[in-house]
Amino acid sequence: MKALTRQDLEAFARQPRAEPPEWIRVQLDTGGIAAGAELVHTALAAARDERHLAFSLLRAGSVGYSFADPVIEVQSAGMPRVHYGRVTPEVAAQVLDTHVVDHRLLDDHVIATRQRSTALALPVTHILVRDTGPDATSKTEFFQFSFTEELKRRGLAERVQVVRALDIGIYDEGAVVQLLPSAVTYANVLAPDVARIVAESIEGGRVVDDLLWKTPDKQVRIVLRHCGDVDPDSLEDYLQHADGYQALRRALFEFTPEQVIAEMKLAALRGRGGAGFPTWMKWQLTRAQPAPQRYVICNGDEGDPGAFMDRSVLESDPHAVLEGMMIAAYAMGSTKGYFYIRAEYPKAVERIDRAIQQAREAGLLGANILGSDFSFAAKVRLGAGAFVCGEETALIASIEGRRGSPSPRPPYPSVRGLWGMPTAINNVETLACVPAILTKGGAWFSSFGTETSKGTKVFAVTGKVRNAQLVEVPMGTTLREIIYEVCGGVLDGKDIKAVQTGGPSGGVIPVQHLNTPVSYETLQQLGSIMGSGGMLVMDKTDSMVEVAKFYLKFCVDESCGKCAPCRIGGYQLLQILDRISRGRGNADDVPLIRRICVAMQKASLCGLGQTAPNPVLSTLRYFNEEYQAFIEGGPSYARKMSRVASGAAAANAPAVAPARPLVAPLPTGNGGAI
Amino acid sequence: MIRARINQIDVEVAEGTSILAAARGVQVKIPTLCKHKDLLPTAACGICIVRNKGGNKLIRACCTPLENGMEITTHDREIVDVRRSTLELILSNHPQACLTCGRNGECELQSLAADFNIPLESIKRYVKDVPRDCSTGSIIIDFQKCIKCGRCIQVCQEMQNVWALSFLDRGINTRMAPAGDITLAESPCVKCGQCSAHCPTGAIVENDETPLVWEALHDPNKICVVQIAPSVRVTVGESFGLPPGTNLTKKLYAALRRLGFAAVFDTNFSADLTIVEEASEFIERFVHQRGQLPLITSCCPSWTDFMEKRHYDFIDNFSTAKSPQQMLGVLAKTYYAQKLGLDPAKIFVVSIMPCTAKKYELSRTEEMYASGFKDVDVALTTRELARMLKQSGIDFLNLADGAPDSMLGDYTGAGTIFGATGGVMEAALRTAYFYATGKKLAKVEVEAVRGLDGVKEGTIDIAGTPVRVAVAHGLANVEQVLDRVRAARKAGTDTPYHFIEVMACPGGCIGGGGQPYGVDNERRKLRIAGLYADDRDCAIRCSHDNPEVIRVYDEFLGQPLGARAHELLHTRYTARPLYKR
Amino acid sequence: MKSAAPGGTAALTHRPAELARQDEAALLDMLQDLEQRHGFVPRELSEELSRVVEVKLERLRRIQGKLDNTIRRDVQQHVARWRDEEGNLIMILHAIQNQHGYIPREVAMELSRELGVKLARIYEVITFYHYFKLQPPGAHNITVCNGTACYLKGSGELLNELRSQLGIAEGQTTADRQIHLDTVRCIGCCGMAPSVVIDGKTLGHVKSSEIPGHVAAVRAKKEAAA
Repeated sequence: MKALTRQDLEAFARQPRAEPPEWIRVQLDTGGIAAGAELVHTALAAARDERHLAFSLLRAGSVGYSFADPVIEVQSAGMPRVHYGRVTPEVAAQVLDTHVVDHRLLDDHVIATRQRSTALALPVTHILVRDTGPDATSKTEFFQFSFTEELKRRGLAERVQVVRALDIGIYDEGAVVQLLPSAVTYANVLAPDVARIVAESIEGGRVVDDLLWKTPDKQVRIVLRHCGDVDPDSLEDYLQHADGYQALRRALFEFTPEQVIAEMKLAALRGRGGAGFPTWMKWQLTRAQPAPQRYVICNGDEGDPGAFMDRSVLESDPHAVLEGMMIAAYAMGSTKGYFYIRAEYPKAVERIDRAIQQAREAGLLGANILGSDFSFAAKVRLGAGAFVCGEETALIASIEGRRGSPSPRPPYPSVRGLWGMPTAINNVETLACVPAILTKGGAWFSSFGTETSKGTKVFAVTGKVRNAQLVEVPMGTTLREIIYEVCGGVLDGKDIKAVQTGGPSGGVIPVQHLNTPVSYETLQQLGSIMGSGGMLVMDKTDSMVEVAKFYLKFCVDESCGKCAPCRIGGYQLLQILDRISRGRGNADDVPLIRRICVAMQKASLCGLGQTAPNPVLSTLRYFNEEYQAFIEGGPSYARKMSRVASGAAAANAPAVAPARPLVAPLPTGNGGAI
Repeated sequence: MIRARINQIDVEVAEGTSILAAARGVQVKIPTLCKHKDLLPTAACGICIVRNKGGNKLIRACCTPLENGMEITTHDREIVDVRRSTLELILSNHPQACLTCGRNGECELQSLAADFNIPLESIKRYVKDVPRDCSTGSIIIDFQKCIKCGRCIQVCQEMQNVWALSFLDRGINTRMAPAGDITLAESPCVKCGQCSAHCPTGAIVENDETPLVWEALHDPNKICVVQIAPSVRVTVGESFGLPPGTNLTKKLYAALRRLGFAAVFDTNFSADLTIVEEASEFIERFVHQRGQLPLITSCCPSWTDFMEKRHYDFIDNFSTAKSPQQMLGVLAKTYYAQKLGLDPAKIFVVSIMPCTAKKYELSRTEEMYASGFKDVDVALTTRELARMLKQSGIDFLNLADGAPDSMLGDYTGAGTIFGATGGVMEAALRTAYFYATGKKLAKVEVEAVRGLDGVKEGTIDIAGTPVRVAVAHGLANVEQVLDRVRAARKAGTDTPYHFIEVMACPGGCIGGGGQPYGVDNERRKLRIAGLYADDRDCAIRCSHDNPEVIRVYDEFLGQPLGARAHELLHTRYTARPLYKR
Repeated sequence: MKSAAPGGTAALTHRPAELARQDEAALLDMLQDLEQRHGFVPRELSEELSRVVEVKLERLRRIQGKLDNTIRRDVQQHVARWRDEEGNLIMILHAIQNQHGYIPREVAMELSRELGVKLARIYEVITFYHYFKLQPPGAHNITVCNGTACYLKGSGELLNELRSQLGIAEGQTTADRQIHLDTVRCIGCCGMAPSVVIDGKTLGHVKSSEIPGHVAAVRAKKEAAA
């Protein structure tokens, strides 16, 4: 690509979004690829060539439906645009036959859109059905049959297809029906309603008001705005379809650095890495420090087990993060930036590397970018398997080629950071927000969220949840809404016991606090933290002592070993927990645990050690009785519990979970992959 | 200036002063196990935590600079409780073998544990079973006793630039060890022992060879003779509660005699001898232009080891004169044995050294066997000597003064200042000046090479020719000096220095790795002052005027740099691999 | 020019070209002989001697590194690629590990020399970061994801089964160096928990009862390869 000018970018901004008429987009992020997305892509390409089909085969990152990987999105003339989930190469072939050639939707793989409407703007062409209560399979089939029969009866069967959906985005609301292409959605549909819907909506073009699902989707996609949509390997796609680098252009030509910081202040964006320090202030402090060089670092060392927000954003929308970094650099007067990314994320590294390369070739990186005074270079540096390197001073040590041991602060990195120069370290998600804020304004961003926590937050919801996925919701959304309304509640319809947020630095939040709106402060009050956004759902069968042990073991493995309270405290704590979980604990153990926890919290050098006791303390706070049961019950109780736990694990393992029986067999063993 | 309050006491300190140092200034002692006055804070132990008013976290006093308006509390209930818990955690990861530990009674951890009087072990002890590293014969590392304070590593890497020790692995498995699974002897270690001098516990100690000496002393077939290094006389008193710098030369003579040594010699004598050889070498190179300049001193065995491993391009610049320890050893088994008609095979030479590397020097090359036997049999550190004296029941401090044995006992002021950084240079210049000009220096003190600056430079006029000298101590300071020489070599210009003195340990031998514990710059200064006082008090202050030195050349050695001198008093160097594995 | 020093110079009247032809041992002997005779090295001879020292150093380097030329060339290439970049050590170590599967000691030594970073520092870094290995990897790798989601859904069971099937603990390689078992912090496939990665291929929803089959398949691969 030739070097871009300011005028080129302005032209892109004016130019309407041009898309090929027919396309299939394969979501090729790590999760998707692991589930076989590359094979699906290959199969689609081969089939297209073999059968001389006209659609464009596009690549994208993940839209976030991890539970349904691999996911593809299909746009075909005269058809509603839909996502298909759990797509194997065989399913992909069926999609071609059914959707692309026959112009019919494929049963059991459609993921209904969350952008629901309340008005029937266009005639209905497809009815998605999905029962969301117990015994969903047969009921879904029943409703498909009923609708089909009703349509036949009215002679509409030719015009309207009834399709069983894989997921319809509403849960525990009986039978749910979505009318495409408008996406008017009815919930709690009963058998007698079928005729009414067909008569009123399909024939009459009117909305059945008493059935209408009016609750808007809880999700607001700011960080994930282009994820799953834009080709992460194509700068051109980002420029033409995602307003790419328009925010940078505006920053460079319409804002002074101070104004950028002012806009960020208005947005009240707080660091998404966990601590929640105001981003504008970090930039301001770095900017205020006189120095020959300032650095901006993107912290992509996402290491919390169960958290994959940053990876997903880096893999799905790398240019947005790069653009955010460049705006940050412009605001604080920096000319050099580093992406520090876990080596375990090869795909993210590859895509950021490519993004940098493309941006450099297009003149978006280098000297006098777009003819402005701003020059900037970005490089990638790899982590190497050390969670503690997420800590700012440790991250700096790691880039500098040393052991990733944290150093005392002050001096803060904004004063003395990388190679002694002022350095601002921002999380991936934070940087991804920046272009959106510059484009739509700080006031717009801060219109989402709560008083103290503005904007949206991405969570990776995993564990015993029906739909493990990435979720982006405004701050202030309750845990219950996230888990039940967005992610479909607990797996297998079991009762929820607790939610763990903040990963190994966080704590458990028991069921009685599920209505807590999510914000930095509220989670802290409950003894947990926001953290980077991992959210683990646990059901009644999960032992809190084991969960505490799991997280603590993680911290013990990841402790840098520099300071005694964390190094020895963590280890000893783990020994005591292990003792208790084997039924060998005694009454003195709990006070001792508390004492070691306090020493770690107060005397550890960095956040890892200071927060490592949180999972232990919060489980003690809410589930003390489980500890007592192990201590009082002795080894026989412990053995019983371990049988329960392994039984539960085995029960969860089956490839075909009862709640979703109609899907294609999941890739188990070798079968799914090759 | 920073104004703040510590425990309600107003303090005013220079900007950048740590809370720990500021508190010390107002008689508030904040305990720490990792901060050492010589070193930057490592922030490892977590013991020095204090509270700043309004702050919700406890902060480390060692590495947090005092700021204006701070209101620091160093001791309240929570702080002390956390400190106690942290100490308990550290103890739970430390073998409780105090009674049989080399640091028993002098251990910083032991002392803090005693202060806190921890009544019982509530936390189960976890100490990984790791064998000790005794490979060097100089230093013994007991990995189990390491509390990972990081002092030794900072010493080895930053202060000494040796990089033998490193932090390996992480978390609970973090350990201090040479790179890879190799022994210390296979590493770049130069045996300087600064790690042991800075270790807060018994994790790194000198190889205790006192049993060998006791055995020899009790062996009727052995004639045990002993020599005392220059610096030992002003430091040994510290082990008996005397202030640093107290000169106990004569009490040492008496005490060693009481221990059972047949003859008590003084390494100061052979220091004079070293100067005569080395100054002659210098004249040979500087005046007669035979051999490379600069001439570099070689009496520090850690330095020679370091040079052979890292700076072997300077082999030709090294003085081949042996160190005083080795010169005395070889003379004891040749000259002294012949004069007294003793069988050299029966002579057992013990040296009392400030230094752990001296143990290594004994068998460094075959030249250390120039007498036909091992010239020096055992080298003890000051710390080992103090232990022997205590074991022997000698009331050391109240002994009447003794005298050394003649032949190898007399010394000049030039010999005694060997123990301080710059001392060898100063002593050599005194003699070289005389050799070059035939005249005595008007003022024997060479102030330019004195003091504790890491690198000291000076120009001394010898017969109208300026002699440019440099003195470096602490091995990390060597590189800049050598690099200047290298640059000149490369550019083909005149060498920036004619004469360079290097001592591995900061302060020279008075700061040696085998000296009594608790070294810092205050102590170094006092010890050095003790040596300069000894020099001042000497009637003879130039090595070439030492009557016993003159006599040994007349009767035995012939000329300086002569054939006999070469055979007995000189050595050679060879490039050595940094890592043997 | 070459007349000054008495005694030992006869041996050193060779021209440099002749010196070069002498074998190394002879040169070293000569050097030692010289040192012995003179105690120090006369200035006139230093030029020749510096050549000898070079030979000596060369030998030293070989002792230090036990290098063959390929290793040196490889390391030089890595270093050349990264020399002028800030923060290059970990990136070079990644390149080396990608090439060898681990970081051989002789390569680390050569890197230390080429890059001017102390070996101790390199080892400090290698042993700190779990990604870097000091031992050659197994021919096949089985990695159990130990992310939270996988943990909750029974990765512990899988690991136990693998341990007993392979007779090794995580982080270890079977005695025949064929299979390496490890755990990894979250591979981000939480949607298919619990997952196991076998030779780069991710398997989802794995049951412990399936483990013996997977192990047998890997072993079969090994035999097929043999």
